[in-house]
Amino acid sequence: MRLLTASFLVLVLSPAAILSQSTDTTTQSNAAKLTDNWATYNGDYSGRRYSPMTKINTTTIKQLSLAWTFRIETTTAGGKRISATPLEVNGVLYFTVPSHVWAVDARNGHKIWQFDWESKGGESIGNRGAAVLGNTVYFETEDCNLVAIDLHTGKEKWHVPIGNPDQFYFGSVAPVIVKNHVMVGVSGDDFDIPGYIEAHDPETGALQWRWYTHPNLGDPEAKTWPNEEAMLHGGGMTWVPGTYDPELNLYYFGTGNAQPVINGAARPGANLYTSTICALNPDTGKLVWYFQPNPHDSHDWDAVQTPVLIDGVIGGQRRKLLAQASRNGWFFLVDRTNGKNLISTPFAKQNWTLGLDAKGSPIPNPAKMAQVNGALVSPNQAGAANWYPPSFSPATGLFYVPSYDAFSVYYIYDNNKKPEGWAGNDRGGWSRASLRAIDYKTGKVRWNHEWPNPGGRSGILTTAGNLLFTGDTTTNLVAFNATTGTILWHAGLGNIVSNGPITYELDDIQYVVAAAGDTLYAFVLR
Amino acid sequence: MAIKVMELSPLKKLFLKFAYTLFLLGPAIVPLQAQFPRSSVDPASSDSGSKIYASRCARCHGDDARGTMSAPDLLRSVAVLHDRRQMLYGKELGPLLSNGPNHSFKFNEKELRDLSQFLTASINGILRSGYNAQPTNLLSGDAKAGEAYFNGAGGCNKCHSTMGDLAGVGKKYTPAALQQKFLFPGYGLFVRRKVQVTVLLPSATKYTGDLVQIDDFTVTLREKTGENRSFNRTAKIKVTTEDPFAAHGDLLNHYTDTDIHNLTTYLATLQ
Repeated sequence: MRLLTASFLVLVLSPAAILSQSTDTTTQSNAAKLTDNWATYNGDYSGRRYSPMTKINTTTIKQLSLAWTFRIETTTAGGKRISATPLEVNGVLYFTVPSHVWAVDARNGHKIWQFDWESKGGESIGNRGAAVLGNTVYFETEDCNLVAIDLHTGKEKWHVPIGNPDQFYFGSVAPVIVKNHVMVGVSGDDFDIPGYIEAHDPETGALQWRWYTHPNLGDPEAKTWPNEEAMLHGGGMTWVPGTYDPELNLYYFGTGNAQPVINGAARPGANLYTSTICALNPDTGKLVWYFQPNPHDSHDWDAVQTPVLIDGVIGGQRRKLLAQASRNGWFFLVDRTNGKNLISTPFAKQNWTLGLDAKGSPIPNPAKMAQVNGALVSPNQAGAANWYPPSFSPATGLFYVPSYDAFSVYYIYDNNKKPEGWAGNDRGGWSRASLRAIDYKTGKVRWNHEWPNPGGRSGILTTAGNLLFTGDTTTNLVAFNATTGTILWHAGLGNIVSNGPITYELDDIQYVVAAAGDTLYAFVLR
Repeated sequence: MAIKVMELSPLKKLFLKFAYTLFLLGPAIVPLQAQFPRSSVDPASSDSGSKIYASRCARCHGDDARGTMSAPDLLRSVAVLHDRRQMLYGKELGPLLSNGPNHSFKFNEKELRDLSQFLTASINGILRSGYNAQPTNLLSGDAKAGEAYFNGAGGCNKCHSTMGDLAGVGKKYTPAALQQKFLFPGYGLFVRRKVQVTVLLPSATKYTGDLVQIDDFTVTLREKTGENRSFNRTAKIKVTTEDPFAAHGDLLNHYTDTDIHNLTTYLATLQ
């Protein structure tokens, strides 16, 4: 049916007709577009998680009913929560939890194969998913391997190391295929180690390049660290899959917190390239530009939230844009050709800044860094946003993000002149949870749905049916009118929605699939 | 059924107090996930290792093994990290200590094991879950200013009395628990006052009780009788909630950190 749909479109849509569809205030991204499948972590390279499918829409949504469920029963070290975004390729779903991969029939939820990795340890907090290229499925293990699996048989083809678990590195990131590169991020912030991103050969697994998330010695940016020792142990993990603009040939991703995490007294400066949005040439692994949403991070806020690519209009001019709703409570819009900041504005409660610097980065208030006797800080460590995928709808021009307004108290526990590791933490909590729709052109909140109580978080999917799917803070999968924020439909699941929902179409039937805890739930119109 | 603390034995009261404190500290003490294998430590062995370290290693590597100008940081040593995670108990450190540059120590198997355990404990101690999560130096504020805040700008005395409900509160809680309790009284397992919810039906029948669960679609309350009642949140029923700690939540937008430090110091004087 996918071929039939494509042929039909070719026949009926002349180039003029296609162009005439690009008259919205935003245009289609030049990145590979999401169609009727879900081929990569974010559906397509743009990170928008916006599907053009319309069978399920604001009118038909009331008919959306459960089609099938699939429950996993194998775990390693308790890692049973499906936080992976499943891929849908040729009628098969591929998804992961730490150390395990499943291929499941996307029509009926029947298991095709299961791959079990014999883990040598690591952290099983979550695994964000797999990548597919040709006949190969790729995923990361918590003991730091990139594993290639035969798409049809589920048997291992090869594996290669991507880090040293002795140093507390672990794998959790969904790889992303960019041309002939398997892009791999690494996780781990228990310990003072530098982050990096790697590209591997998709056929052999051979390392093509590794780019560390710190400057080279002698670079001007190296002056954002007090010394080489601090910089080379300064953190900056690459926790979340990136986005890609094929036309610019730039791969975009955010980096994690600086180390030591909470007591930053021994690393004065902005600590580049931690908590930074980076644009890399995927062929060379060279940094092209950077923008730092969170200089001198001492709250574990990172800046790893998905950098979403928007082709929009600012000041009457068509622009290639990149937007991030960052964990520190600020919304950023930059020109993705060069990283120049266009908008920096809070989208959630925050009390930690002294304003903005000339480049548009927030200036952290030293009084709101952790203190021995405590500092009341907003947001809390869990953040105004977190790794849960946001979404952007070009139809509404709105950027959607699960948002928390929250307070906690940050304490320094280790006032050693050379703190290491965490050296402090935050405690306590007051929070309010909302689904927030932000006008990308201004950063202003267009609509806000506050959940009746704080609780879990979920990723977001939007569609051309003017729908938004996400989980609430309890156990419901909820569909909103994406324009107005009105709830149109919900279904109670067995757990909190634990990933970003996806949609795909097979045999003229549009599916919506979400994970809640250890179970996938698929819905169709009845 | 609520447990009355007064009826409990001193041991049980102590347990409850410990459990309360543990819950407040929960996320810092017991992470939901942690690296595995855990690289556990035998305290006696680690203690012996600390003595060996102090006499043979600290002069160059520093008292806390974090390095000096003359010798590197051992907590960041790849060889030590390898020993820790693989639980080698010094087997591969031994040759380095006997034949490595500037090293000619002939430690026996037990000494190597103890040294390994000390270094493992030192590394475990700097991880997210490793620090003693009890904040220190929380009584550095000005008690008199805290008292003035209590009776003035904070408005605490509108609901609380230092001779009544807060009498002896400084004795009842550690400073860390005390601070958390006035900042976030609605947070934790042992919250004494629940959010109150009222459900008004089209028939004008009203149900009130402790909030058990609420989302956009259903609400559950527990009546004073102990009975749970659930309702669909249809357009015809009206649901209102009342947070007994709303005033505390509002204060979060107004406190300065100095207010918090002063108030903590003042409340701790209420022995």
